Amino acid sequence: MKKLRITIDGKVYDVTVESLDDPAGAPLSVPSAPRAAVTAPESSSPAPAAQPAAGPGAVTSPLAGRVVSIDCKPGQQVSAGDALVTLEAMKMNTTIAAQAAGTVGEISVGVGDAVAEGQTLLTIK
Amino acid sequence: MPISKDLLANYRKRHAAALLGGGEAKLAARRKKGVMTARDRLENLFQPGTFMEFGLHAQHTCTQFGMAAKSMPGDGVITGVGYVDGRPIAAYSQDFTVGGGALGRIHARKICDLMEYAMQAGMPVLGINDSGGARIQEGEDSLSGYGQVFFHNVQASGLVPQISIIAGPCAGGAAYSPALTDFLIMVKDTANMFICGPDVIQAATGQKCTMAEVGSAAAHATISGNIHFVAENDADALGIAKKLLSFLPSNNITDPPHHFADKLDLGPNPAFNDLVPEDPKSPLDVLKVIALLADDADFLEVQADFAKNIVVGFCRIQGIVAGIIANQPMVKAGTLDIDASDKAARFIRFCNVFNIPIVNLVDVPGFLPGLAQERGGIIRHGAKMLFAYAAATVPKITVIMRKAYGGAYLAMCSKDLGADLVFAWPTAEIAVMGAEGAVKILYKKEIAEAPDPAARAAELAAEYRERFASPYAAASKAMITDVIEPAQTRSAVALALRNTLSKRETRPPKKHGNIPL
Repeated sequence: MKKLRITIDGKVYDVTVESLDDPAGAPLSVPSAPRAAVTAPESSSPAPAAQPAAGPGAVTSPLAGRVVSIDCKPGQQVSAGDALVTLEAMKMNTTIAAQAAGTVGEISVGVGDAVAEGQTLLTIK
Repeated sequence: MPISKDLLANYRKRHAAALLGGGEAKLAARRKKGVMTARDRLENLFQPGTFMEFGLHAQHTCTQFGMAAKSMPGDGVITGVGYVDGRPIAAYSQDFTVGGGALGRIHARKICDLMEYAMQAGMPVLGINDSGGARIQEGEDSLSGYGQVFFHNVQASGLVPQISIIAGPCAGGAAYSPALTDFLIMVKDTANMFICGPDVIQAATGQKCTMAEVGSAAAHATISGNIHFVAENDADALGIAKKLLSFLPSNNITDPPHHFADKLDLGPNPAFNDLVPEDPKSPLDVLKVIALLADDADFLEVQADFAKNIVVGFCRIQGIVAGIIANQPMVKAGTLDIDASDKAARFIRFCNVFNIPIVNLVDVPGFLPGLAQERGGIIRHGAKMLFAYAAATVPKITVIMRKAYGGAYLAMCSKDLGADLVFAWPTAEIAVMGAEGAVKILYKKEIAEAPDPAARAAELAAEYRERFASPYAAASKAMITDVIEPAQTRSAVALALRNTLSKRETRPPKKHGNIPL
């Protein structure tokens, strides 16, 4: 059993993949709806707003939106203030700029992806 | 007969000893570390020779725990009145070299006496906090002292401006006196402020954290929003306090220090036009608009690092002191969220209570959508802005630059919320909601039945936008004063402020409204 996140036409799906070589595994399950659906917690008191875990050097999205353009390439040297990714949210483009100088590592999103607040967009080393 | 030599010698000896606080060695050690002494700070603040000290010879009254024989010059705090830019300011400065600046009964009494004097004389109060906390030897006298200081902070609130500098430790209950004042300036590196420090948090909850995360100037300036300015060092903190005072009246019945120009410059400034991007999706940097609006581009931004999707601060516009509240489309698309609402609402209320006219620069697509916002109480927090604007009776001038959608537009001081004059750029989009969302509701059936629903929806949205995403629909209903070219913004706002300064608005007397806190 392996958990994967796939993006189709800009919609993000969390899928659980079962290896058919493993007879003890659970059946393959693909949720039909995008992740936007949120279930209420069972307790009556709301849970505090948890910041999604982001590793060191992670550049996260300040708000939910859609990726309009990727303005950097993996391995590229960037300085503080350089544009990394452009998001569209609330009918407005928001430029995500580098907070500090570094080298662009893995870019985790593509053009057209829907991203959630706090989601890691890319890493800077 | 001249005065007795002995009396004079005794006076001079006592006076000199009291001025030295915790003694020359301790004062020298602080200066060597690059930290000002309590008295250095006041000397740096005030015009030379203007400081009149209250209670230099005060001493503690504690007799327990071997305290009876111990001298505490001034009881660990220097209080008095001095001049800044020709105006008297009441100030106190806690002396860390005297018993760690800890607060005892007389220490608290001196601060309260100063605040009472300042309230009666109508002058601002500046408190410089640098204290180890309560003087444990004095027990409940010390606790009671804090309570009295808090009570006086609240009495003074709205009567005279209160500014706090956090220059050293400010822990536990001590943090609540600055928190009750109008503006907090915190010195980077040397100051910290918290209710429960890392040790207490770990003992009580097992959670490990650092002082930088809990109580540093950076944490308070960016995350908690507890402070308004971060200073590099003591001198910078005092500089910020002086700059801030230069925009504030001495009390609630005087006007702020306007510098009226002999004649207004009412010509256009094409630089405004150049700032407006052609593509409505490209964000406009509102700080650049403010730089053009303010005299000499001189803008004192308040809480610059907290809730950056809204910008607040002070400037003069052709000499008239104004408080600016502006959406920042560069951050979170300029949406209003919980922190932005809290930041703006408090600033609006400060301006109102101290007669500072308000100028609102609007480019807001709405409230920030999100589960965390709804569950965090955006309804209650956003309501603070509506409340603060509607309750404010100072001149309120609104400029709608681009987006002005739904409740967030009202929350940015529309005509309905009491704006005296409203100007809109030709790029203004004033609408109850975005075109795409609106047509889905208005033409639900028509879109569903169309051969190509998406194409029909886009067509209808374009029609809707044509009709409503402009200032003219609102202008035709007399909801705005005028549509102006961006180039006319500074002259229109300056003239509007001049015209509205004489505004008098009286409302039925009541104890106070019930702002949704």
